[in-house]
Amino acid sequence: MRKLFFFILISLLPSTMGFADPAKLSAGKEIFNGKGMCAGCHVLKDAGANGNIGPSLDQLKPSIDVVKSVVNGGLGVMPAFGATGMLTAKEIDEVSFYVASKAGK
Amino acid sequence: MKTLTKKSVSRRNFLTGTATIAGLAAASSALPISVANANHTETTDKLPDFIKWKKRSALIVHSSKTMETHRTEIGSSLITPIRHIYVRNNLPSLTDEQIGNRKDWKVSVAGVKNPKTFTLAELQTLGQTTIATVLQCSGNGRGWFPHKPSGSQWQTGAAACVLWTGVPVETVIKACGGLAKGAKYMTCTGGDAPKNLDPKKATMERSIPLKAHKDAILAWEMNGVDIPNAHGGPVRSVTPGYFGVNNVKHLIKLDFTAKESSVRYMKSSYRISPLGKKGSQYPSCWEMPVKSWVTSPSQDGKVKSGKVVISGVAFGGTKKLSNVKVSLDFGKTWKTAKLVGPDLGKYAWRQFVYETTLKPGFYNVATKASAGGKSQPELRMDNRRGYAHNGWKDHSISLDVV
Ligand code: HEC
Repeated sequence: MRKLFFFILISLLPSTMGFADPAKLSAGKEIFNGKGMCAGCHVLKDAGANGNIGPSLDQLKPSIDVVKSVVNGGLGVMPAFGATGMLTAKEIDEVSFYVASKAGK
Repeated sequence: MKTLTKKSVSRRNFLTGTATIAGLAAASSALPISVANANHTETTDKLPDFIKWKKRSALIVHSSKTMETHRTEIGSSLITPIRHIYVRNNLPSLTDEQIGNRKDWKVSVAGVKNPKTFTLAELQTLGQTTIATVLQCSGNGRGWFPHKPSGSQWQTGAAACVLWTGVPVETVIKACGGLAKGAKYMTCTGGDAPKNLDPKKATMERSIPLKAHKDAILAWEMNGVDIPNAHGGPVRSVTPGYFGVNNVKHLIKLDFTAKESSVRYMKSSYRISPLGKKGSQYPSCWEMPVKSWVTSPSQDGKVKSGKVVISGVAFGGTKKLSNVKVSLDFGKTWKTAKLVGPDLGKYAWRQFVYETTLKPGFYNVATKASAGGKSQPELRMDNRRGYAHNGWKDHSISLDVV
């Protein structure tokens, strides 16, 4: 039982801690500053973003699940990128991975 | 007698908690609490400029835009100190530069016989009153929903009891020759939509049932000072008993309309829908359900055994509060608490006090308020966006008595 637990923990680590995946990170950054328009509304130092409509992502340091869920469904003035097809599932995964990895860094 | 549409039935069920889809699992998820407490003590973490006048140590910071009042910082003087009041703005607050001379701020009035535009200075010559209301974010208590809805994970502190001074909406209507025909809603528009965004998506415009205009005011003062920009000055509509979002900040238009506004903040946001569902067919966050919570003692420290005073706040939304009951045994038995302090009317909250003697041990302290023949349900009513939580179980606290 305990062994299984450690196995699960170790296999989860790379994704939850955002271990570098340079290609995915740069794809995510491109969406952040481009198609996703995230930079227009949020602060994220790594992307050089100074948007002031939503909360600072550097301060929020959201988990990848929090980013994915809000990018999918939208919130208030923030568009529902997934539900409206503005971003594909793959793009949402990339931009969420990027934000969760770089916020607060 | 109004006809009961499907909509009003589901809303009623929701608000009384009789439609029970509320999950039993993870009644109080530990995570949001520990995160929030950690923030509370991080007093070095500076507040953003637009609210730098707030008291950092009274607030739990959820993001650079949202902060709630710590449970104990609601205080016990009925009215919430303005530096402790929560901050929640859908759109960036207007700055002094954007507002300009406050006395020249303009509010246009439509849906009346003689539509007019008033400056703040002119509104102030029409009439004046002061009311006390509970201002509460629709998502207050979201932190306890196990499906982790997007948005700030509020616990109890996205709420305050506020004194507002302004002119009654009724007086403004009279000054415009009365209501035009066909009005069914009072619709208020805020002037804070960022210029570069689509107005349909970024305009804060809220419609509430016309009957709610009777006790509503257009306010310019809050707890004795000009309404700060972060709370929607120079003029804010105050709609007693209705969730915070309906109290429109930076008010530029007061309208009486036949239909609900079609902006996103009315049509799709702030709808109380089942998990996985959304749409304008679901009830809007309008009237607040009855609710209460303990504000003292704090569950963060230890309490000395012997005589203990438990106090908190309770309100009935649009209904007068009837009573508050306290349970120390997970809701098995309930005792009635005393309502203390001034009664500022049904839209304000009442303070309650329960005096008891406690032996050392761990206690669960739950409170259950009743108003208009309805009591707080035990469990939250799960809904997609985590709105309108008034279940007593999640709001209970644990006390370590030594
Ligand atoms: C038009 C402005 C706008 C755009 C574009 C935008 N956001 Fe947001 N975002 C907001 C606002 C406003 C909020 C806060 C909404 C609220 O609390 O009601 C928010 C909230 C968030 C949150 C916090 C969610 C939570 O649960 O608290 C995250 C994370 C986020 N946005 C990420 C993104 C990413 C990534 C993108 C690009 C794919 C993006 N945003 C694009 C305005 C925007």
